[in-house]
Amino acid sequence: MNNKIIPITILGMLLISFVFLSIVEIKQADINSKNIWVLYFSDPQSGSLDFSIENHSQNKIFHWQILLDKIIVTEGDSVIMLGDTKTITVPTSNTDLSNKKITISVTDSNSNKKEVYKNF
Amino acid sequence: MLSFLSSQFLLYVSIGIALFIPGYFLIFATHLNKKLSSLESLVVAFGSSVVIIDFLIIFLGRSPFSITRVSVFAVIFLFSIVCYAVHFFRNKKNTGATLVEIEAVKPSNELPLKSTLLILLLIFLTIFIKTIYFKDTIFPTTTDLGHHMYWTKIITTTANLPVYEKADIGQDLTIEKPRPIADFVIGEHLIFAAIALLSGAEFIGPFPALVLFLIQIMSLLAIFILTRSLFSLPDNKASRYGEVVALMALFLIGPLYALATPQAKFVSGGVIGNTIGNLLIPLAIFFFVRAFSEKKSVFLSWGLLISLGLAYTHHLSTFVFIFVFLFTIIAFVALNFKTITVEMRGWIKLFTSPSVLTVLALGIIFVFLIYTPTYLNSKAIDTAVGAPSKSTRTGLTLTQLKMTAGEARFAFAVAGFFLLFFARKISRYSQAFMIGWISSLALMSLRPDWLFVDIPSNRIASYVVFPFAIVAACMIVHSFVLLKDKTDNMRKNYLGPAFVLITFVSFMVFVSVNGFDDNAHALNTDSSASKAIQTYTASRYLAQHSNSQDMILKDHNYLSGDTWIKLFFMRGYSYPLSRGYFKRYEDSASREQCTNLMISTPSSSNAGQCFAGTKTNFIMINPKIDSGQFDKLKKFWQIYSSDEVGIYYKSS
Repeated sequence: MNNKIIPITILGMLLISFVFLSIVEIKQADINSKNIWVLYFSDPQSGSLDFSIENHSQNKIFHWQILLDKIIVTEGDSVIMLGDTKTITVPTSNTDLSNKKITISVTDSNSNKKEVYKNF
Repeated sequence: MLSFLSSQFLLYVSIGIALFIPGYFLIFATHLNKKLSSLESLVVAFGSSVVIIDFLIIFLGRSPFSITRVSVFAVIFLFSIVCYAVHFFRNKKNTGATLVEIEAVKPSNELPLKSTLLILLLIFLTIFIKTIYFKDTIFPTTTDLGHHMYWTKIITTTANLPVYEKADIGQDLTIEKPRPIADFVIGEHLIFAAIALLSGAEFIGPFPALVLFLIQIMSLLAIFILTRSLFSLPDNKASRYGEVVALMALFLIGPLYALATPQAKFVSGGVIGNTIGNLLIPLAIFFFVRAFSEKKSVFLSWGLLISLGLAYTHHLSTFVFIFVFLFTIIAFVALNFKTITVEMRGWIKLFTSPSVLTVLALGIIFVFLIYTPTYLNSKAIDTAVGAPSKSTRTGLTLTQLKMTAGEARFAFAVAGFFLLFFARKISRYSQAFMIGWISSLALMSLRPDWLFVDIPSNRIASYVVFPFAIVAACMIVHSFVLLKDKTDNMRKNYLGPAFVLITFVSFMVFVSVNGFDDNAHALNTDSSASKAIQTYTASRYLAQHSNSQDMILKDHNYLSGDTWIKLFFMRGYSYPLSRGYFKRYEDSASREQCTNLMISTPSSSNAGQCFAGTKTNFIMINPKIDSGQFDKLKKFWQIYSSDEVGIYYKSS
């Protein structure tokens, strides 16, 4: 029996397994399949209040509110498609923010809420 | 789709170039191909390629050239060319050999059809079971693999050999200058760096686990070829006893207990050193047994080369191997006391052969002049040798060892161990190696204080699986041989064939049920990919919005895949700082407490001093567990929010 068949067959079996696992890994690594979304400040270290919503979920409509010490000062809705990121600019030049807590609160269509905030 | 196909193609070609080509060429250069079967050639080519790649890249790193895709490819190509030239000229020199001489060196150890099919079936089952397990763990999240891939990425990004060091928080609560660490060995990272450079594969992807999976399958095949070699009768080459024992051993370590430690769990866990050690130890023993049994220096040279590679790959495996070797010598001397002086003359002849002296000289030059393994310093040796210093190092109970080895395997191995002392169907060297291998590991695991071993006992015990499986296989097959043997031996047997057959079937059922049950318990039901992806997304965000002046602290307890965070920053092994397991802060009074205090009680004055000393200004935590203490404090801003990760910024 020509035993080259053993190494060749084993390597073939490993190749099939590796390709299968690579495909599985690609699917697992696809953030758009995880039904999550993320909220963050565009510039975390400065006084800027611009924020971004990164959507990797089935939700499309996000309701956001800007609260100044728990009081809603402005709010709105954003439509963000799967895989997209939307940055919302918040003008701050006409507002005195000293000793205030500014909270960005975002709620998706399933009423899941996330918040980020800065204390001035 | 096209990018997936091209990345897959590049990955497998790179694995072939790095992990098969150098070994195959060295086999040809040393004419070992004429002494090995094709399966043995495959395993030896793979194992030796791991070693050769280590030495080639270390050499490259110490040369004026950088470690890049081109230089790695060039050095492998040059090595292969040199090996081929040696092979060509040796062949040319030997063209005058007669047909009889050529026949004499042709391999006579190829396997018959039935055994071939059985091996393929066992390997198929093994790969299938492990693949089922890996489908939930293939996405990289595990702690050890994260640490190792950091050092691997350092090699690929700096194009130099890594300097293993880390920066701790000192007594004055500031971050000290980096100090050398002996926790990592360069051989654990070089093969991954070579494949990453050649293929361009991403570190946060499947390639590290796939390479480890490949190493593990090769280590199972190494056990097969070793067992076959150990139990092949020296006076009867045509006997298939060794082949049957090897098949049984493959059954006991392949499809059975396929997932438990040190099998698939070590692959998904990224326990690189142990996994490579479990390949190189059986390979080294394979060559040593053949060298001493057949009195051939070429095998001894290969054994020494593999051992040297082991020393550059994993400290614990090397430590274990030294004990195995010492116990083997003791066992051989004790069992062959009358002929030891004659044997020693043969050993001296083997060790003074040109090929062996060449490997020894190269080893000495490498260790002393080119690259000394990081663990070869007095501090690292002191931590491994001496009276056990922790409760986890005082030895396992027999029950714990039984669970590690697998209940059924353990039972047969114990019986088989005693059988070894009276075995006639085994060479004296095989007998000594098996007794030395098992007794050294059993003693190191059960009574480390007797040997002044100060290493976690469960880590040592993970090495018993392979020799136990070999001896258990020998025991099972031996009982079957009694049944089949219809010559004089049978007449001495007081048991009826039907009874022996029933007993044998019962044994097999016991072993199979126990082994597959072990697999069932180890199977994952959940993947941690979803949580880890959120950690990586947050890390990417923070890497883009911070610089090396910022200091980040993350939590190891509740963040998934947290050790991989450092790959997004590449700002040092200790960056970001990490809150470790809580028990570690209690176990050691001298351990720094800052990383715990800054997350657990950020408002305390001690934490305040830690923030000032370490200049920590970003905290990554799991918001479900650790957000409350930060939300109360005005100086912290929550700047990032996802389901699994919250990031806080400490404003100045």
